[in-house]
Amino acid sequence: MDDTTQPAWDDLFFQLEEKTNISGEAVQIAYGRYVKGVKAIVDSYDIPVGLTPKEIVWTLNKAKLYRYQREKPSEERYPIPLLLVYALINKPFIFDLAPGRSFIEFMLDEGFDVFLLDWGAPGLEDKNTTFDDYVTEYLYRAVRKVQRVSGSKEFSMLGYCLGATIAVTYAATYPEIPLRNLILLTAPIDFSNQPEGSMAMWLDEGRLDVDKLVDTYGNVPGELIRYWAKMLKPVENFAGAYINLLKMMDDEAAVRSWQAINRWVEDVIPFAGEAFRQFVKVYLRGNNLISGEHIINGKPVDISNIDASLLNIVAKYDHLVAQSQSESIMDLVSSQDKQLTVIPSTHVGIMAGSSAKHKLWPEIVKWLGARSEERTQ
Amino acid sequence: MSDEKPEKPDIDPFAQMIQFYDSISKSWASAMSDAVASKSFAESMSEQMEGNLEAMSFMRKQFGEFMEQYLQQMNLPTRKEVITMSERLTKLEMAMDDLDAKLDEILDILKTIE
Repeated sequence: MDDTTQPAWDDLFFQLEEKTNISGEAVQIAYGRYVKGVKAIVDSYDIPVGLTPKEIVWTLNKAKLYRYQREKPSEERYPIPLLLVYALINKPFIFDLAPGRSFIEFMLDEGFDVFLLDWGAPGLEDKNTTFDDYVTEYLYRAVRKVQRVSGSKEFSMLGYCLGATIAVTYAATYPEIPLRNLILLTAPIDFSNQPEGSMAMWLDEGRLDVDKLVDTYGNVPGELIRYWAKMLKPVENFAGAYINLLKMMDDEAAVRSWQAINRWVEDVIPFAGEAFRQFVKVYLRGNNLISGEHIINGKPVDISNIDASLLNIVAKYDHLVAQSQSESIMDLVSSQDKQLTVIPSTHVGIMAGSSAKHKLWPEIVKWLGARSEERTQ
Repeated sequence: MSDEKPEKPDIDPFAQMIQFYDSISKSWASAMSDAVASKSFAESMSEQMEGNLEAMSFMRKQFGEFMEQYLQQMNLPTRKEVITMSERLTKLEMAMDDLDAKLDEILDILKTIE
């Protein structure tokens, strides 16, 4: 083909300008924005996240326990360490998205000694790990390490999403361990009421053959869980997210935040097969955590064993975990000091949204700071 | 005659797309969310899932059996054997972690005696 017959891009825009009365410059700008948008999406898969300096203080199988480097001198820090426990799906860098938008960085600046338990991505060799194993084999040992390296027997724990379910199970199973403060964030605990449009509806008995799913795949593919989560709000997730990106293309900081969240949304990990089977059958369909019928180490898991100070935070517009699934625990714990806080946000936005540092994070600091001082006896 | 071009209206095709999305997104999102929340959608998704699982479980079972026989004939470890080995390693790691914790406790006691 003769190259001379190929019009240059500028000529094309010029012709368009002449014929349509549309400014060629405007079309070029618009086209440039579109190219930038596509590039931003592609780049988001590799965008650096979790940049707050940290050290690995413990590992077990794929699980890692991080301790974040503290800037403040010890006399200005709270003596009670804070352990963050995230869900088994997606990765925990939602707590540490980017400098300036990192919950962990915020908590360090406020003087907290922050630990994070990263479960890691299960491989096929982990398919027999049950939901309870995460409590008794992993979290139990991670807490022991937190106590050891921080030098404090007492500690605070924050569980987010399924991490909150694990934290509650842990606190109810080991009442002898001195958990001082328990913070639950969008915690799916009580499945007696499953509102229409929740994921639980798709996991109902008769709708999902959980045995066949787990027996076929070993671990539940992360892509399937991501698909379920996105399908609950199809327009917002499959179109709205990208339209929002186009809208903010001129704001570099906003694009950077969008990329970090997009990476988190897309970067899914498998759900260990037996853990998924147990979660669906025992926790979700049986609601055994609430009914007290769930047995671990030969003893019923009794939520009334929990007497730590409790801050239970729910997101008002959460489409993944309904408010009713989180709030009933308030009447079941023995804690005298307990607070339910409703924040007008979404499941992810509550932690990672641009308003999180003005709403959720200061709320946690205020509550936890007042309860993290050394006790004088 | 002036060299200046007459002013032309700026137009951004993507702005139009965004405007279109904004104008319909609320009603569209609400209609779609209602649709996926319906029992009929849940039923149809369940049927689709069941069909996929049926096909996948048959395929994976057949392929898994074939690979297992092949690896055994080649005198190579099968996936099942590798998994068993990995599980045992994790159990060992747990036992070592417990020993480490016990050792820490003993050292603490010794320090108090000193």
